Amino acid sequence: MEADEELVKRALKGGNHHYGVLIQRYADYLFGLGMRLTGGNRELAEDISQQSFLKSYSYLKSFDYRKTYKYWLTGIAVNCFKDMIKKEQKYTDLSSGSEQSYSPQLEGNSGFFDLIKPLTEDEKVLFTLKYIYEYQINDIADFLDLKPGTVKSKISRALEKLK
Amino acid sequence: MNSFEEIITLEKTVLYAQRDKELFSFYTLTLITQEQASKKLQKKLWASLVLFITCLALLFSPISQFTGSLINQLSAIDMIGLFYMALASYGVSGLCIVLIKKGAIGFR
Repeated sequence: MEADEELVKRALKGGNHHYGVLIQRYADYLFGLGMRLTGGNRELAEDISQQSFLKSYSYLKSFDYRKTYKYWLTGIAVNCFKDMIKKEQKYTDLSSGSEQSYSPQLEGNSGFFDLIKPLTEDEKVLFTLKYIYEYQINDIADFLDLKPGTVKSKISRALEKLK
Repeated sequence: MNSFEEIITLEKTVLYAQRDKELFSFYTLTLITQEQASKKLQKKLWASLVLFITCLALLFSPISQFTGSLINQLSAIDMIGLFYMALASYGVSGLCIVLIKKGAIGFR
């Protein structure tokens, strides 16, 4: 199996099919992350996954080889989710007052989705990255462009909500 | 808290699978190719626009006076004289080469 970094190099040289290998390799991972962040919304999770791969390709030149591709992709996916939420909020602000015409189909471990329901979108991201994916505080701060102290306090606030 | 930990532990074991990965990969790659093509087209359009504006600026700016006078000066040059001069200088240089070659053979 070829290393991710080697595939990135080859994709940069103009071989899109090498990027296809990376897509297939991380499709499940990104989809899972999307499912957890969106509380089991398959459509949104698929959108996040696809947007992340598209963004990752357009910024592939700036890939930092000191980090792993998975780590880099996680950061992109998390920011895609945040962008999507902002867009959705704008949309719901515009359509507020009217009835919701679309109800997402929720799938997966309902216990976990029920658990994180009281959290805000930001807190869901922090909680999922910390407790499901076991990322370090510094890594999470790096993904979200926050200070480690801010991440810590937000996570403890989220935990208080869940108690 | 125990149930909290149980839920977390259970969630870690859940595997979410993307539907039809090959199709997903193919579709994403198609979108990438489409985006690349549109970027290339945009670049080409920008380059053509810049070129067009530059040409227009050259035609309508005071530079056109300068280029006009340059063309006038160039057209005023005596082309026949220039032709004879070039012919004479090429002839002399050719003769010199022949003489040098003969001299070199004579020395041997």
